[in-house]
Amino acid sequence: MEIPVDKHVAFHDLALRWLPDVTRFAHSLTRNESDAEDLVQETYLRAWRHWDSFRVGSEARAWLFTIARNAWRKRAPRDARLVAVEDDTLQALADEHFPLGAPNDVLQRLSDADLRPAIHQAIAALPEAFREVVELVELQELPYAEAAAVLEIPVGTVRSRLFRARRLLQTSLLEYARDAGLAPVHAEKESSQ
Amino acid sequence: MITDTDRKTPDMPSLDCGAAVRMLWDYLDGNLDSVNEAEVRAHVTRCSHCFPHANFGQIVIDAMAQVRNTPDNEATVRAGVLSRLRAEGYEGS
Ligand SMILES: [Zn+2]
Repeated sequence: MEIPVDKHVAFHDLALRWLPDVTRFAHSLTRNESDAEDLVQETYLRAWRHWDSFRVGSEARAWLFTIARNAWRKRAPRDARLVAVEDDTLQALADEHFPLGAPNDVLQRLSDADLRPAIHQAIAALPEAFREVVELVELQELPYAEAAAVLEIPVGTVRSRLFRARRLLQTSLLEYARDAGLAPVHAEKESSQ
Repeated sequence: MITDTDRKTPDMPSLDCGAAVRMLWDYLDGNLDSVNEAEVRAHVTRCSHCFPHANFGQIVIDAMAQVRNTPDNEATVRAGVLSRLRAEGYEGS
């Protein structure tokens, strides 16, 4: 079968351009470099085989993320029990999703510090349902609606999980600040509401 | 701290702290309409209770922006992907 030349060009221009994003997303799913590499290969292989089903004119990134996520789910199906209790667990983990407050001197020291290692660690420690929302919306800058489509959840859930995830990240940053001697042990109690 | 009653004017209804904090993430993300945005801005810049919430919210958003980086193994990943694709007839670069 003759493959038209423009299919190759289109795949290069529309799909392969997202390779760094797909790699990062795969890494956020697998949390392991070699599994991530395998998953990226599998994702692009599937994308190439099913390129005809891609709607040219839409952005391929969310489509690639969906393929990657489905492939990963097939390889590593989540524990059914975890899925069943997920909502309760999430509720208990981050009941409040309002931003946390902290004393001004602590905030000043936090904004002067290099928070990248702390944030990496804090994101890695998030429950999966929160981590994937943070990855798509915050790190990949996908619109809420596209993230919702990739994750197969309502847009409102994307929004509330994102806000709760940020609140958990704030809690982690305060812990980091305490461990790094940037904040007194009781810091977050002073001005959280 | 400027209280709610101090700030109330007929053409600019003020928010209480609860409402301001509830809208803070949307405010920081630029998701509010112009009326709500102006109200939240007016409130958090003048309220000593809400200001640290807005400030800390911005810190976590900025910190996440700093970790939006390109993976450092991109060349290896690309080589692996291309070799699998070429085995299936892909002829691009
Ligand atoms: Zn207030």
